[in-house]
Amino acid sequence: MPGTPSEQRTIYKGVPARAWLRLQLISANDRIHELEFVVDTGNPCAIIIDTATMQALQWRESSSTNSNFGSLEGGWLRVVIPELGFDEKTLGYANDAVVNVVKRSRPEFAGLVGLPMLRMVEFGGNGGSFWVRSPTVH
Amino acid sequence: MSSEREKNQAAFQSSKEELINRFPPGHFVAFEGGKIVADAASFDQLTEALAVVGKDRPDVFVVQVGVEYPDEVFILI
Repeated sequence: MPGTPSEQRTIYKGVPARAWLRLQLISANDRIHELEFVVDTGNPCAIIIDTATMQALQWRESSSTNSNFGSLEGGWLRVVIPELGFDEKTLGYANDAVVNVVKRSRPEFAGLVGLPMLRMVEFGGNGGSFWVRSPTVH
Repeated sequence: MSSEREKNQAAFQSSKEELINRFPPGHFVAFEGGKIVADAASFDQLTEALAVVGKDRPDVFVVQVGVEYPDEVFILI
């Protein structure tokens, strides 16, 4: 239906249950990595992944920052959400300690997505699921 | 952190004012060896500019002018 926003909806999972979404990270040589990320609106970084994944997928290096988990090494990533037609070069960070904590909820989780990423789409949740949608055109 | 990244990070930190004066907000700037090697209005245009000068590589350091890069963040998981 024209005008209906496209959506990715996920059922909470992990122990404890976490909101999550599925992203494709695409390398400069077009290798597609489809990964699952815990969502945390309190996280000030768009996306945090482990250092090996960053090394494999980053398009460019970028500014690093300090955190309570140690250094976050900046890198530009191509982030795609196919359901939304979302395809953006996004500033992400690498930190293994953050990813190790996320994996305690569910080993398949590859990292953490935060508010700067979510603000590029629309997002929400209810008692059973979390969703992201393409931005509404006003 | 590699010495090359440290060099580029330091160059970026010391040139923030210069970048704001030289380029419009949101402009993309690439550093290598502590020096600016390319700039462009978008990430994809910057990639083209880097290719022209033979520096289309992942270890090139890229920032956006006027974007706040915090010195420290606190993460709660």
